Amino acid sequence: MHPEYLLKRIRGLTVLCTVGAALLLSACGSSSGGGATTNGMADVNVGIALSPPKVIFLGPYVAQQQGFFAKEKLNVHFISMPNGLQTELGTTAGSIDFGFSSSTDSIEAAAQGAPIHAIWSYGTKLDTECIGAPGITNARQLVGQPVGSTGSDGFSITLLQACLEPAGVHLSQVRQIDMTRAEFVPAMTAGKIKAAVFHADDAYVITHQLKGATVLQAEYKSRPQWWYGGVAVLDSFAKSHKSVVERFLTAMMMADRWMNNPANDKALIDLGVAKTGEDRAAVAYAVHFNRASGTWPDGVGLNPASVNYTAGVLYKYKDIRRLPSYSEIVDPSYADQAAAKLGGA
Amino acid sequence: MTGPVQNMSTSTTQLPSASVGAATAGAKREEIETAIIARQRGRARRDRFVYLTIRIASLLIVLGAWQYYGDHSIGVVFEPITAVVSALWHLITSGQLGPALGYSLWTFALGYLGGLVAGVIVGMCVGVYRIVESAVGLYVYALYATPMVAIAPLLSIWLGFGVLTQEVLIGLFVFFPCLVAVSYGVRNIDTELLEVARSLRMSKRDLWRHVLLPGAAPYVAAGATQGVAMGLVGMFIAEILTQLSGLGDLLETAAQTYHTDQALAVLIVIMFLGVVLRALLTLIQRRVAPWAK
Repeated sequence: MHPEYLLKRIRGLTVLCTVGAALLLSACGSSSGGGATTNGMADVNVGIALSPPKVIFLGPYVAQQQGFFAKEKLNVHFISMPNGLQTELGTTAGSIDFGFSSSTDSIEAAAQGAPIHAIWSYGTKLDTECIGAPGITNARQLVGQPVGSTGSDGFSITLLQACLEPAGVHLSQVRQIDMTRAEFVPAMTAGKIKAAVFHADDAYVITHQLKGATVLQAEYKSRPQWWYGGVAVLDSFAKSHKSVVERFLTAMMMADRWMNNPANDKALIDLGVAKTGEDRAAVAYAVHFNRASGTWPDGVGLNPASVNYTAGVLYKYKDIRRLPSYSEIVDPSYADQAAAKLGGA
Repeated sequence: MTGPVQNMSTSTTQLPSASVGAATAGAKREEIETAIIARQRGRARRDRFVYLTIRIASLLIVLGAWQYYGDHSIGVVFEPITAVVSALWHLITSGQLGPALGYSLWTFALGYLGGLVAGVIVGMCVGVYRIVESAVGLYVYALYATPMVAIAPLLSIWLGFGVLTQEVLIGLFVFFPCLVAVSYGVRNIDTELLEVARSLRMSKRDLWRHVLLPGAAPYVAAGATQGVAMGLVGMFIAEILTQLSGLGDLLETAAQTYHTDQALAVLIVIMFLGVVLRALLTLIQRRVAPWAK
């Protein structure tokens, strides 16, 4: 009989679902973070805006691998975020204790009055390079040509200007074509765009895979005042977990010193390959690029001139409706404490 | 009177020859039936052979075109099938695929089961009780029309970035198609069956047991099958848009680092997963509700 047969099966399914629900509930209770202490170690969640991370984001992974977090009695759990906006939202909502994302996200959050502040910078300079398609060896050749961009926001425009202006080309002289970053390579291969801006790691891959593609500009040279990346925390978390925040920044500064030491190159590149999923040569290239640009700071890394310049650009391009002050965007007090604790050793 | 008697006797005397004739006719019919069956079998064999040949030929053409295009393209844009197979082997032997697949399947299983059970229960209630339909119908159809991908960022803010958000998202992807299929199915159960149930003065319990549940089974099966495809979409969206994890992490990492061969290898795994899960569901459906086709 169908119904009996069916009911018997439904009973079996109910048992299965009960087990499933129990497992689901057990999964809910497994999240940690928020500075809670376990065995004398503070649990913290760190959100990284770019997944998989580029080499510029290696600092926290170094701190983990080299035991700097453990030394500061921190148990760090990494959360790979899809983008900077989600990272800032997660930080504001309290799911993330330390959010690593673009400075523009911190500035936009400050302009909207979000209760978060950038407390440190993991990358003080642009780690990007402008790449010309085969046949383009100088940005002057881009006049009248299509150029790939990720939008008309201040950051995207700055990246293009950093590419064009050193060659005396104004943005209005090229044809800006908006697309996603993932579309740059196919578009360049198909000849639809003649230049685009990539992270240093990706720039290495493109120039080695696409015959004739050339680096036109290392952008930290043409836009040295641009503040690239910040670490944001929720104000209430920082106030209630001052010691955790300072210890976290101490570990991060130790990691930066370690990364800036050429003696650690091999170990750093090994870690980079494991964390980024990139080829060894690309990681090595990006490591040297970031070190040469001085993007990994030795200290606080929150230069007021850079922060204000970057906020000014976003305001100019109407990404933000009001221009927040330095103290609204940034709170360097925790990093100052950490730097003082660490000293000049 | 002699006529019929005569006829009777004639027919009586003719009986043996008639039975022989019938036996001959039966043998002939059997022969014809055997010939027909043999012919049908032969045709079926031929058809199978033809379809198999077409499948193999189409596979060879697709793989050949893939190889040719891959060989004449740059690595970051497209890779030949040989490179993709080798990347798949690398993902398996380096121990990257196993844990990722395990995570994705586990998350999918919990989300799918949750969505399916909730979808069937709510769908039955919406289909059977007008009062429930009036109370929740508007929200259900409004949410069904909303692209779930738009909800993903909000869900991760509300529920955090862990596995719970991913399961809820997968569950939502499965829930709505199931709900709509089941409620539609229940509402369209043969009215004659319902009339018969009423004339038999069936209790509510018996109505559910003998009419509604068996009647809705084909629609539950349809919703469950559709839910597999939707759930897989949900799984990828969840694994890419909340916290990178599982197969979504493998795919995103490969794509972001320009390892196109690995990205294509992950896609092949996903396709295989879809086919296997669907086949598994068909198998379960045949055992649980064999009348549902």
